[in-house]
Amino acid sequence: MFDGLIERLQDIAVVANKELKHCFRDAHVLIYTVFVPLILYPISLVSLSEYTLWREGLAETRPVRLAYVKDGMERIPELVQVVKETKKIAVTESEDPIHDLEQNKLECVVDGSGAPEKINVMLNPSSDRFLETRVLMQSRSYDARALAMKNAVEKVAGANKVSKVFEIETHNVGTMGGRKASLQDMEITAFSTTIVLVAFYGYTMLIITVGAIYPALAAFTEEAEKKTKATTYLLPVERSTVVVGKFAAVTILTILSGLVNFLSMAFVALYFTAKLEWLKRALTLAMKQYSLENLLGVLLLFMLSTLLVASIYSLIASTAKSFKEAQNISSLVLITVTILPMVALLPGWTLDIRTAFIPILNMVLCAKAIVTDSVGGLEMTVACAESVAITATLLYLSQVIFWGKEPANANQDFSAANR
Amino acid sequence: MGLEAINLTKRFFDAKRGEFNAVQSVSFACHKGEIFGLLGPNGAGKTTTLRMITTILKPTSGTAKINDFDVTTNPRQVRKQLGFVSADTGLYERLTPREILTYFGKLSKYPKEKLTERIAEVTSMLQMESFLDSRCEKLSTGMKQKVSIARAIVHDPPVIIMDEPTTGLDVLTSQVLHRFILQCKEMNKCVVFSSHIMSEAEKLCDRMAIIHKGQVLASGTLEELRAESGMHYLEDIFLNVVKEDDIVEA
Repeated sequence: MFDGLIERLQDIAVVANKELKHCFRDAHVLIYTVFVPLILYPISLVSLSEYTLWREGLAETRPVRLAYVKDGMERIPELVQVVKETKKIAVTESEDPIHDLEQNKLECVVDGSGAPEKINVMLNPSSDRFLETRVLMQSRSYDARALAMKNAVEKVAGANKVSKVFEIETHNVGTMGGRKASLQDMEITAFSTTIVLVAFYGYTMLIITVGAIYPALAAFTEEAEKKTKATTYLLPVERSTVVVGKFAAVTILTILSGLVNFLSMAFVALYFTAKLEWLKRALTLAMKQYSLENLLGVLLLFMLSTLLVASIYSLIASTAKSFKEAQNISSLVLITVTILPMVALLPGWTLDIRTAFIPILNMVLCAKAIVTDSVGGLEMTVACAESVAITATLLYLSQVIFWGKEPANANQDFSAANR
Repeated sequence: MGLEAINLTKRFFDAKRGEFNAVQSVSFACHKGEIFGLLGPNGAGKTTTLRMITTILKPTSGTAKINDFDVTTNPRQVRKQLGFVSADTGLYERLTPREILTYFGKLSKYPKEKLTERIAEVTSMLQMESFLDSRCEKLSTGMKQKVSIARAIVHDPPVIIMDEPTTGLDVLTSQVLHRFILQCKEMNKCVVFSSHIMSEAEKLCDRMAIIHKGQVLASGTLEELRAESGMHYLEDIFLNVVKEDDIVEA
């Protein structure tokens, strides 16, 4: 019996090896499983950040031109002070500011003559920098308002009593996930939870789902489309050996896709932490949230999710008679599989005995529970057991559907019907 | 020892015709060192018969035995005993012939240490050395057919079954294939092939069966068929048998 099992495993390995070779030589597989997570993700994020930084730099070298209506300037000292400290704004002298604004010689005119009741900030909508100026002036007016408020309170209460009004007490503010925590802890927990949910699950689920589609199509659907199913059937091995071997190859490629994605994420994280000091600080704090046990737990959930996704696409690929049909079904499933992790981000969704039965979503909620230290043993066991059971069922169905009652019988029926 | 088909019957269902017999009580035998031809027009039931023998289809009734292994009760052992080539046994496009042969050799449990040698032997026999490491998607029809045959025999099976193996091939490749079939006979293999090319059957077959509308109408050696029909050429004998059957049916 033991020899039989070893022989079977060896056969599965041979089939998986062949499928990996066959899949890896397919352009679709290479693009969606390797290149998209490897290149597109870092390139898109890095180029977006570079563009943002470039725009920031551009704004400093070519500041927004602003002029005051002279009569009201002394009535808005806080805004004048804030604007003066902003590198992105250059204050310009103008005899007729409204005319200059119309002529696009200015991007913004500030009229403080109605202050403190009303301050008019005028912009030219036909200017190519209209949106940028609007956002900038909005943020500056918030700062000016805060400064005015602080000055007003200082006048009444004295400078040394003001600081407490603008600071938040950070000690003993309650618990999160049943654990005593300071506000700072809570912020880090929230941040690291968001990282797990959005970066890890949201994006990784999308990547592994996309990464699983084409290997599954190459391993299963192609056999029907390229008439190799009968060839495969002639192999003197059990039918299940072939299907399990194919599934193993699809799973390996899906995991690979996920790992490549992690590498990309690591690269992007390193890139951003080198550029942005606040992110480096936040990531360092967030990493303290993860113990080795937590990481292993999340990794186990990743493996279970990958197996489930691979089995879903193996079933779709076994059912479809052509690439086109498989692609159409895959698109619908892709939406469902990637939306479920996003649902976990909504308020009120936690792992309980009901949500533990919702496939994929339960895996994300498990991950959420792990990083917030609110793991329920029963719910976690139910979620993992259900995921394994669904994977096994889908794999069994893949085998039944892939081979059918009699391989090639449908073709035979068809040709017989046309005789 | 060899191949024996015993009352093989396959019934299909189709919406227009309802249930009908694609193959009806077909029986024949092919022994070691013998070439047996299954001759018939298109749609006669040759492919269905061979698919049942190779375990791809389950017979509705009857059975076949390959080296005493029954196709209905021991299909896995049967598949170990045979090599099958047909238009439906396509090749994995992105693998090379060498990779395909290694794959089939390994899963057929051909001794690991001899597999490389065996692949060299088979590819030399079929003159495949020049394209052994090219991907199958880049090969011509003739080259692909050679790879299919090599795939079928890489594990050195005692029974070789070919479904219209020369269809679509040029004369030169067909010649290579004919030589290979004769070589198989010399190697004491049992060879069954289907064809609708009478000259091919006349040249290669020791014995043959004429199949039409799913039934075997005549069988025997060429001499026996000649004596029975009073005609010399196999094409005339074939047409005579098929026409007679159509007249009887009308």
